[in-house]
Amino acid sequence: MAELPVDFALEDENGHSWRLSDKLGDPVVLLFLRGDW
Amino acid sequence: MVGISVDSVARNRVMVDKLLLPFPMLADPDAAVIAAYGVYHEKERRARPAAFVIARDLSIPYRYVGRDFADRPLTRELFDAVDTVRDAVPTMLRSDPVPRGPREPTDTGRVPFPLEHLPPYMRGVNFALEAIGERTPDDERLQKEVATYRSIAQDYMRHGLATLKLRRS
Repeated sequence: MAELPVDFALEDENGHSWRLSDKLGDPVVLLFLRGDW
Repeated sequence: MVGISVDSVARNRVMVDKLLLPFPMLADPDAAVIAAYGVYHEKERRARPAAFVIARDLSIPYRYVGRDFADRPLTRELFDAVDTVRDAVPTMLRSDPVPRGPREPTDTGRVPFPLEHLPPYMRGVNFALEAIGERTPDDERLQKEVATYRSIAQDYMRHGLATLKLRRS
């Protein structure tokens, strides 16, 4: 496994791209959820 | 704060609207990012409940990976960790692209649980746990687990009702 944090980009619920490195001006909380509700 | 799961963009849209989530939900259908952060559950083919706080100096002052679906991080611990790194010195994040994930993107077709069902469902969970607790008074470890999960069920009930009230207002 690569050293964390790793940068990534995923789509949000509106289909817009969300990239981690764009958001690190402040602390970021990543919440991993089971999904498939 | 951002949520990440194997659910599709469309399914996340439903969840955000249903629960009035105040943060974005990101779609990771092949679990590439989930696996890159070491929280992919091979058997269930989705993420373990987990939380990471990433500071702008790229340190990770808090990480929590749950044992199972009911094992969640404590909100207070998470926010306390955020407070400790608010003044960190910014560092540029550079890393290799995340490799393709281990999961074949599929939609199970499961219909999301209606929010209106959540409070009575959790009331039932709370009652079942109460009964288990009363049957096993001498099992200290089980009593502690019962207390933890009753607290989680009661939180879900309370927040479910509050969200329903917000939606109606």
